[in-house]
Amino acid sequence: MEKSYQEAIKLPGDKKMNSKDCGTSSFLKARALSVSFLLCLLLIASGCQFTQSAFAKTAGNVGATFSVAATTIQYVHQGKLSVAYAHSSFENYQRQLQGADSQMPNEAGVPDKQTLTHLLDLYRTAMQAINNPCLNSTCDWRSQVAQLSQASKAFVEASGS
Amino acid sequence: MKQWLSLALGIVTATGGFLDAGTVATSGEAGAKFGLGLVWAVLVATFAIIVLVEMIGRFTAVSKKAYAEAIRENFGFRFFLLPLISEIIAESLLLAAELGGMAIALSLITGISWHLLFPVVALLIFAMAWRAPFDWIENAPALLGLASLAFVAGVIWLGGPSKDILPTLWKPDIKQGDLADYLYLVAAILGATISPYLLYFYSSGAREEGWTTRSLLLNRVTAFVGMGFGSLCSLALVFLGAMVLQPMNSQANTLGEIGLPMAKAFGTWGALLFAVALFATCMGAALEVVLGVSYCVAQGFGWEWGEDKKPAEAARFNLVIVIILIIAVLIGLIGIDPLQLAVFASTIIALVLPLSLLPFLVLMNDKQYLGDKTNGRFTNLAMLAILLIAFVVAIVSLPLQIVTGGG
Repeated sequence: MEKSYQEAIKLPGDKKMNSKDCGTSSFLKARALSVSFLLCLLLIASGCQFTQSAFAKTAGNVGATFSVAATTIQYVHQGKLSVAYAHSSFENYQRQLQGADSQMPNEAGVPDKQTLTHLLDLYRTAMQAINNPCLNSTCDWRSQVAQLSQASKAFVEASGS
Repeated sequence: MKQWLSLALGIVTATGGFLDAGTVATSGEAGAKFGLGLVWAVLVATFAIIVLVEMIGRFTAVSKKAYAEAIRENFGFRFFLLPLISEIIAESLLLAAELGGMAIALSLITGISWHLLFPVVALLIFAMAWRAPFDWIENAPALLGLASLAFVAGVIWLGGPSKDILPTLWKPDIKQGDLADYLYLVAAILGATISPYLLYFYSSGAREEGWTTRSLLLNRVTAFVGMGFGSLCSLALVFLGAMVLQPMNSQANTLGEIGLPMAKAFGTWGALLFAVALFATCMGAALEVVLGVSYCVAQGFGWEWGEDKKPAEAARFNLVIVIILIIAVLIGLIGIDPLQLAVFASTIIALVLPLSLLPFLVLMNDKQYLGDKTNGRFTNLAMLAILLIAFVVAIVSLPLQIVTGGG
């Protein structure tokens, strides 16, 4: 029942598939090609409608990260999360949020100037908490949570979620 | 007694081996963004991986050949290059994500930047893959990975999903403009679960352990119960995301966020358990990826291979381990977030799945290899369904990746 492995090493590509195998492969290939063609058509035709604008996507991500940052600070002060866990998390939140203020004004779907200015003000205030989160009792963590929650709410609303 | 011990270890191995950075990332994101609306995708992926693992174990136990050996032998060297090259590209990305996942897990425990920990975990994987016997590689991360069962406890502790969330199970709440994200996550979930490296690793592991037809029961139990347990943990992450992350508008953009529900349930111990589970599952997956690719290359080229052999006895096999790790470290040093990299790698894996799975259909029906243990009608249909799913996922993944900008 076992095949000679040495034979395969010496004669690469020598064993041919039988006609039944070829039939299965051709059937799969044809089926796969038709499905892919139809899916590509569907995607091209409706691509603009089933995805968010670039601005909505960025605003949604920013709002979500601010919200999670607020919860992280809260959990630390409620004794649910270690300071080490929070430190590590904030390093990643910073990376997520970095450069969003310069990115958003140039994105498709950007709102009117007044709304954008308001959002960017909230972003800058909230970023102070992201860059220097209050993880001990010597600082005012509640006001940081309030700032982050306010910014989160505004960004989530702007994203249309 | 020994057989039962093997069964227990097989289940433990599969439990630890199911979850990795990709499944943690996609499950957490799925729950946070769409509630329980992607539970069906996890179930489909679970069914697929159970069928595949059972088949590959049966193939190896009966034919006494590893999967890569058989592809090379049956289809020739030129054809073998297709799955080999796609495997190297996709798995290098995934390996970088797994190393990043390990580094982030250590960072969540220690507070030290994960960038500094990245080379440390790469060295740890190198040391284990280079010298540890196969039993250690199989069982050490798997036993630690049992910490992921705490996710299930977390769901129970938090009281399960509320009445508001439950309907999303059969009627996904997809808001306008979110359909692309939804489909992209379907692709990523399937790609993260149905990973070809698992087939190469499992098949070669069965050879290393000298499986015969007497191991078929062990194989079946490992596939069904082990993968079932793994899936349970993955589903628990979806539930935790839906119950805790979605109400706070989180999109699970970072791996640390996915641990917050565990902190809500069990406080600092819960967060610690999440970090330990993340570390263990990523370590298990990193070892499986490194060895899976090395097995694939060595078997395809007809080199000596074997984790229990000394490096000098299987020099080229061990050289591949070093090279694949260096490639992954270089990708990791670019600084891409491990969660984003894990989801991206899962999409790429979904894209190349047909290349790895198509030869499998032919091999599983070859009486020269399997005698009377070839696939039955049900398993053939299941395999065809998996190939169709894999292909659809692959073809949908790439444009969605472009349309959604990486999810």
